[in-house]
Order: sequence, then C-alpha cells, then structure tokens
Amino acid sequence: MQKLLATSTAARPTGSPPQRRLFKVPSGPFAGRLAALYADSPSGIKLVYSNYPYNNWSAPITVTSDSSDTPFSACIDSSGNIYVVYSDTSHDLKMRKVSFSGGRWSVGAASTIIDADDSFRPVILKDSDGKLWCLFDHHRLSYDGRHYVRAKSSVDDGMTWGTGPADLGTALSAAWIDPVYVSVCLGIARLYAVYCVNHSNIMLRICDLATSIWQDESAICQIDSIDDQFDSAISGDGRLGVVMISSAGGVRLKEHDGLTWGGLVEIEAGAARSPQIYYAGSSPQIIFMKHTGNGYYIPRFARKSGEAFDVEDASPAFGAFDKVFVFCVAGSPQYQDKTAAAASSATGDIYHSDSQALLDGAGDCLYLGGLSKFNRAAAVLSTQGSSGVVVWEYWNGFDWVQFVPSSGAYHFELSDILIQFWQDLSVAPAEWQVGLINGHNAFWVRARATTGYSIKPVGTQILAGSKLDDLALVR
Amino acid sequence: MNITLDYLTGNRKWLVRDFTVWGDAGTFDAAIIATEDLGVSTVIFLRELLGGQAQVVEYTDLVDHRGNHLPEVISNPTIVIIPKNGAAAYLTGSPGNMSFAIAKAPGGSIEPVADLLIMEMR
Repeated sequence: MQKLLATSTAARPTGSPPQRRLFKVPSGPFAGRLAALYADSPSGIKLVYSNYPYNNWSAPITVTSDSSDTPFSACIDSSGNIYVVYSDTSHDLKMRKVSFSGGRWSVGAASTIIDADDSFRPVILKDSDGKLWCLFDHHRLSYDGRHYVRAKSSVDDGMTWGTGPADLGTALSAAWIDPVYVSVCLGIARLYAVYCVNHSNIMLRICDLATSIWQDESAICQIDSIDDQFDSAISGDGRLGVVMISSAGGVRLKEHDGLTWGGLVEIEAGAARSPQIYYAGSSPQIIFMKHTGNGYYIPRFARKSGEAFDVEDASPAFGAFDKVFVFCVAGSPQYQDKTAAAASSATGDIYHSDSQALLDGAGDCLYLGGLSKFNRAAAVLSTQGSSGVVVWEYWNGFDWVQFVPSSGAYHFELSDILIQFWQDLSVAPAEWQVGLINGHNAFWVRARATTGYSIKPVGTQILAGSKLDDLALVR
Repeated sequence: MNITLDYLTGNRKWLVRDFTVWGDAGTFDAAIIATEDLGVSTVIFLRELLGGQAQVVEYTDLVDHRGNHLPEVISNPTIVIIPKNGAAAYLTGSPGNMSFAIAKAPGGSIEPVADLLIMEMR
C-alpha cells in the first residue's frame, strides 16, 4: 500500500538512514499501532499514528517547534513511550518524551542533553535496564572546530543527561574535520555504536551495559563516500549487520557473528541510496532505493537465501510496467510491444515503427499495464511533443474512463516528468479493473491522442519510478 | 468499575478448529516512511509484505467452534497454536488487535493444520 501522510518544507522530512522515525507499539491493547514522526517544516516535528491496516492516519500531533532543520531521531519503549531527540535552533541537543497512555500520546517538556558547542544528527536508544543512550555528532566549534561522535546517557528517563548539559559525555571517535554519522543498536547486554567518519570509514565501538565501559574503536571497513548512507541492526542471535552504499554505487553488507567479521558482500551493483536493514531471526532483510536512470529510483528488497541474496522489487506499484504498448491507428500492426524499451534508459527507443513516434495522429495511444494497480509514470522523452493533446483513461471493466492526473494535465510536451495519476494508491479508483489489451490482461492506463502532433514525441524511458529518499523502516 | 461488564467482556476465548496454514515463514512485513521530492516534499507511507506468501488473518474472517464469527477487534490478544497434523506453524510477530500473521515452520513438506485458541488478555 501507499499513502500520502503529509507535505513538508523541511530539508529532510524523514531523516537520515541511520536514524529511526517509524515505530510499532510492541505490546498492550494498542499493539501493532504505527507511529510515524517527520519534520513538517524547518523547525517543526510532528507525530501521526494509525491502527492496522494503516489506511487511516491520525491528525498530526506537534512534538516540537524549536528544531533546527537537521535530521532528528527517536526510539520507542515497551510501553509505547517515544523519545525524540533533535538539534534545536541553537544547535543544542534536546529530548522530548512523548508519553503513551490510554491510546494517546502526550508531549512532555524538553530536556537538554548537551548545550556545549553544536550537536547534530542524534540517535537514541533505551536499554533493557531503562537507561537512555544518545549518540550524536558533536561539532566542537569552541575548541578545535572538529567533529566527534559522542555518547551520553540518562538513568532518570531523560531528565538529566550525564552530569548535565555542559557534560560532553564520552567521545567515541577521534576528531574529524568533516561531519560524522552514527547509528546505534542494542544487542545482548551490549550497545553497538556504528559510525562513519572521514566520509568513508565505518567504525565500531561496543559498550558493555553491565559496566557502561566502551571497548576500543575498531574498523569495520573503508569504502569511498558513505557518509550517512548506512544502517545497522542486530539479529536475535547477536549477529551485527551493517549495510552501506557508496556514492560510486553498490549495496554492500558486512556481518559480525559475535566473534569475527565476515567479508564485504555486494548485494546489488549500481547506483542506490537510503539503505535499511532489519533481522528476521538471523536472516538480514535489506531495503534500499535503486537508481533506474534519469534520476528515478525504485524500492528494492534483498534477503539471504543460502549464501547468496535474493533481490527483488519491493513494491509492485513501483518499477517497470508489466506491459507497454504503443498503438498507431495507421500502423500495421497497430499494436507494438515496447515493454523492454520503456524499462531501459536507452535514448529514444520508445516509438511505433510506422509513425516513428510515441504518439502521432488522433486515436494513437500509449498503453501502460501493471499486474497490480499503480499511481504514477515517470516519463523521459528524447523528443518532446508539440501541439498534440491527449486524454488519460483507465479501464473500469466496461469502458474507458477519462481522468486528469493529480499532478496536472500532461500532453508529452515536457521531456522529463513524474506523472502522478492519483495522489497515492489509496485514492486510485476502486472501479479500475483488469482488462484485455492485445492479448494481455492488466490494470491499464492509456494516453489517447485527441489532437495530432506537429512535432511527434519519442520516448526514452517510461516506468513507475519515484524520487523516494530517506527510507525509515519500522522498528 | 462495572464488575459485571468486565466479567462479561473480559478474558474472552475462541477456539477456531482445523485452521490451515499456508503462509511462508520468510515473509517480511515492511512498513516504511519516506520522502519524495515532487517540487514539494511529501511524506509517504509504504507497506509491503515481502519475501514470501504472507498469511495475514483478520479475526472477523474466523469462525469459532460454535459457528460464530470472531469480533473485528480483540484487545491484547494471545494465540495458542495446537498442531493437528504434525506440521508446525508459528505466529510471525505479535498478534495485533484486528489481525495476526501466521506461517508454516521452515522445512515442512505439508501444510500445517491446527486449532487456534485465541484469548483476549485484559
């Protein structure tokens, strides 16, 4: 399913891959409820929630309005209380407890974690003893101008951190010129801080929770330009997994079995972003956005199968269409299958061989078919059309029904556009039915020319692509 | 406190007989929020069942041993699986108030058939 929750003017509304924004209430009468946090503006953080099957979401609850326009994070405890950590407008680090009682969340007062110099991109976690841990990028402007990964903790539910806001906490990393990025996860009696320094070095420090002593820093791997494009998780049997994507591409996984690190495994080659990892038992489940060309991405899912990984599209609503036909009234044959050409990013290969165009005269059609419903098409043209007019239609089981895409009318006059037929899948027409076109059953949307073109459009790539980024997997 | 009402509505139990499990143990229920920049940034919720055939069961689709449909919502449910044909099954994740997900244990050659004892824990 796919549901629009909000619009936002924040720089990164759903944060950074190592951070946490989506939670499931783990127990009690509201078990299974989801709570999502996002930045709705440069200074505002909101919470919305929904019960299964998550079709209807609550009105937004304001968590804070004094955040800086930088990614924040949160965690949930066994009672459903949510702890939100963020950098405020002075770049001090703050925490708010959003208490859960009787099915409602209420926002508490802010406590200051650290007010010395500037702090960014925090992560937070509550351990099994109820102790809160916050790890963050501490930019020591007043000292050496360098960035440090630091950790602070609170034993009084976040009211006091260390000895107070001036306490710097524990420096986990050395001093670095450029920003540092950190993730945190909880193992059996251990806390794992996985962080990226100097853009490319993924490092680890482990804290023994019984003693609160951090082991020495160790290197996990070095890959060019990771920055915040990584995530970490712990399996039920204590396995630590770190997934990462470099700016050069390639989704890679490194796992630690408790004793030694395994090799760096490439899960999928090519440009990608926004990795997330989660363990189902001892099996890593990885989701990321894969670049399909021309600035469009589709969600992909990888899971371990034996020693290798099976990788597949994560959603039938995104990706290549199952069937694409161009229909030319004057053509012979009239239908031509352009499914492969539409999926590829090869320039100017989507056209009917008789008209040499995607669409030419009145009555010509472009058919987009999916085995599941879809709500969009990313269209990249090598030649933009001129003076032609199309109507968009879907099949309702009896007839074609005209509609105007929610993103506005489009007549193939722009060379690169993401056409949103409907705002999201939840508002796609219920009467949209599978139909038979040129021998193929699918959910069809077609663009039908009602006025011919003076300059005929030619397509490069047409698929259900997205510009999705900053995935936050439920925790 | 209404003791009579609590007595009548609390600790309800249902026995669902001969329930066939076909869900794949590999199923991963992926709920995600993400940002999409379409000129205006939008916050999108996505949910997909990945990696196998999910068997998500809504309580209201079940019929108990007396022939009555279960209620749509069960508060704080617990489910006990009673195997009947030697094949094992288990719940994938915690049961929700309106549904639960169930899967056959890996390696089994037959589809498990089980009685389900569903209890409302108040």
